[in-house]
Amino acid sequence: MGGRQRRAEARDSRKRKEAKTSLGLERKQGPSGASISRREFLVRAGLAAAGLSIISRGVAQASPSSQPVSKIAIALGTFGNEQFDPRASAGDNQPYLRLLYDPLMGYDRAAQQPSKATGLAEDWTLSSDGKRLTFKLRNGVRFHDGSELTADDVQYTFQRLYLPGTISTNAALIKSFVGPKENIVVRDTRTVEFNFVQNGFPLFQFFPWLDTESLILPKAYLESKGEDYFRQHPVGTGRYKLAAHQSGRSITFEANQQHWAGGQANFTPVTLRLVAEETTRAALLQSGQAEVGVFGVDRAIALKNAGFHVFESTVGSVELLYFANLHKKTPPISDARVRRALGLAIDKDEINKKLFRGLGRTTGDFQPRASFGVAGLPPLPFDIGQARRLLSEAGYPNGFSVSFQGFPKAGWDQKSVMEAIAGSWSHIGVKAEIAYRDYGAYRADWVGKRLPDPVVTLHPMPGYKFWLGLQSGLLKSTGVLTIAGPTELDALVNQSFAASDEAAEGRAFQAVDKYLYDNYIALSILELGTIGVTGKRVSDWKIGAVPLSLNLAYFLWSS
Amino acid sequence: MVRYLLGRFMQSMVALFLVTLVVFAMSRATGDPTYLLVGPQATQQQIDDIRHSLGLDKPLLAQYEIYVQHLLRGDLGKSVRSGEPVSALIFGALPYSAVLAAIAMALALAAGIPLGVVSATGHGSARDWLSRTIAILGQSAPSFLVGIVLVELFAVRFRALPAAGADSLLSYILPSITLSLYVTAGIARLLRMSMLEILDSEFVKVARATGLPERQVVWKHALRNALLPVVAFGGLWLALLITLNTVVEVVFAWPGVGTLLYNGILFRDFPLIQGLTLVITSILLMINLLVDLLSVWIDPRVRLGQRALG
Repeated sequence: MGGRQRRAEARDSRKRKEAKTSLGLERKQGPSGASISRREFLVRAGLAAAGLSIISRGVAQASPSSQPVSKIAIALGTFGNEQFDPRASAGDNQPYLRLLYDPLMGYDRAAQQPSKATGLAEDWTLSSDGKRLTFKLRNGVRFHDGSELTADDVQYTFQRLYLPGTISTNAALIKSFVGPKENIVVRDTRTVEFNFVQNGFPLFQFFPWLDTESLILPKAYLESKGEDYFRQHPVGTGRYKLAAHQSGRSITFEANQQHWAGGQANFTPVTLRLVAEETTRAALLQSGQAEVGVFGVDRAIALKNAGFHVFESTVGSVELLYFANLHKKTPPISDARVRRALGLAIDKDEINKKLFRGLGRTTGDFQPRASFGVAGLPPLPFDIGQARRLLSEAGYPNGFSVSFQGFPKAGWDQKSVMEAIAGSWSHIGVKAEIAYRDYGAYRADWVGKRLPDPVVTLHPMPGYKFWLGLQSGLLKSTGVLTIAGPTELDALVNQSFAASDEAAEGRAFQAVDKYLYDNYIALSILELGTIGVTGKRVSDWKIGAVPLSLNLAYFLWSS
Repeated sequence: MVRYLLGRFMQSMVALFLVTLVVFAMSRATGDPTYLLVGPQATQQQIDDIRHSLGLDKPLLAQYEIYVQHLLRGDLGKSVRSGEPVSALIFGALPYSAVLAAIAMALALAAGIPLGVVSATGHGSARDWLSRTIAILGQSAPSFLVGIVLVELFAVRFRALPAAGADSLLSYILPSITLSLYVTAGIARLLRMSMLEILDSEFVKVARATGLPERQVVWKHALRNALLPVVAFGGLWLALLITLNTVVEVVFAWPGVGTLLYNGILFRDFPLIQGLTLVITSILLMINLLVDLLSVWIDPRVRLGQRALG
């Protein structure tokens, strides 16, 4: 009996090993480190040899150089709408679109300035009146299909934003500056000119942070192959080429060794795996089936404790409250004392400590602190006594009822934040009726002016240069989603758009923030960046920025 | 028989029509997908353009009419999210779900039948208690929890199996076990009840009296008769395993219809949700019809019942 069991165990063990070898699954030492037996060492050595042979074959095919490159898997919770056409994507597609394409205007992360070394334009000039922006393209840039980049491609890319069905985040903002698409003019094969119908400086400042609109596409390829073909077989100038796409499952890229900027791939092929469930994403990292992932606070801390590297972007989102019906001027929300009382009653430090594990930063600003033009406003203090007094002065000593709207954000426990805030408000007699639903349903009611009154919304707002677009959409009385609408605020937002230099724009941004802060039009709670976790093969990652992309190229590619 | 078949077919068609109507109405009642596609900076013009390109600016009745017209041509539309044809997405995912369900069903039968028989033959004994406890645990344990525990054990701790995806044959093991647990428990409980009834019947007593070995009485004669309800429910369970295993598929990042449905709902991708519902309903109705036919063939009393009703 014992002998039969031993034989069965030996057989099972052999089969497992064979299966692992055939799949290239390496049983690796975890980042935390663990001792291994001699037998296991031999097994691992065998697997490593087999893996090395596979990898070396891959390297020989992918790169003529002898640099040590290997495959890598990255686990993401979302692929956005999984479209490779930049004009059809809104934000979440950026991590992979920025591997496939290059932006027109580059950006230097360290200097936090536009860079003439990292984009497709090697030079640019904004006319003194701010009405004409001229780009000079660099020589010798080729698309993945071998064709050369010209000014026609740039013109074509931006003119495509005028096609119906464009959903990219900043298309409307660009069009508001450019006016008719004919204002984008090709001067010669390397020169393209944007003529603006208003002061173009704010757009010029915003250019490196454009979502996906400035990722340049090949005109000739698109016109000859058609839109549908392009969606399946996209071609860019980026550091990686699309190798395979399995809808809802994975996207695989391979290195473009002829990239114009030089340097070389640290990893190829790169497989992005779509894994919606965070626990499973963590399991992929822990089992070595993925090397990089994006996580919420709790999971990131657990992984950090298990020996993984955790990185947080300096520019993320600000958790803020706003009053969507403020423009209706209906009590009690129309009273600034009431809005201030609501802000004072929230214990932000406690929320940060309990729900964000102390990783967030309490703030009074409406953009993350690393943002351009941030005012550096302090968080409202936690003062229940003063909050009660203010409510009494405003005529609500027993509080009131308010609809409290909110929606999920990946990695953030928004429902718990809402419950914590509602709990705080109950101490001043304010009864918050929580309406936690998906963003689409909320936004439809917001746009359709169907939100109940009074209403407060918890919104994790993306910051940085988004602020410019948000100012026109949210804060101007003519904005689609206007919340405020007072004329003074209109004038302040107009100053942002009229600024003709960086200092003036910064001052205008700060003035807007100060007005919102002083008049309690919005109440900031805290800011938190995107959190990325890596295994031992990726020891550094400047995650985020440019503007919300995960900046995967940072560790995938060496310049 | 033909009349019965025709009647059942017509019932299925009516059910299918009602389902398209309900899903069409519900997918629009929960909001406009345009707002999930565009950012907060979008202008009204941009929103209007997108609504027009998706046909959402037309009256609901006109939208439904277009939907049905396309449906009759076999066109399920294009995904709002990815722009891909819905039929390609569904029929790309269906084989993954079908194979996973088939493996899970095989596991459930292999484990559930012995469990049910052992429980029934040892009625009131410790092994009956143990089998029933296992069955109750199997039915009450949430599949997401079972899945996560299995991943933690076999993918993270032992590193023996993949945690997610469908990249190899090994990938099928954990999700199929997770999926099979509930059905195993169901089969065991159903079979136990059926077996208890059969074991108490006259023909079993006669078989025992003739001196047939107990093993033969139980496993050959009693089990064959007791399996009828298992066959009837087994078909439905299989259909449900193929079409409604969303939780397990999401936990294991399985590229099947469950994950597709989850993503569709998340993005309010109404052409995809409509298409999936239609395909899922069709599969359920078809399997239901097949099970009915199988029951008629196996058990003449079903046919007689129809005649008596007729």
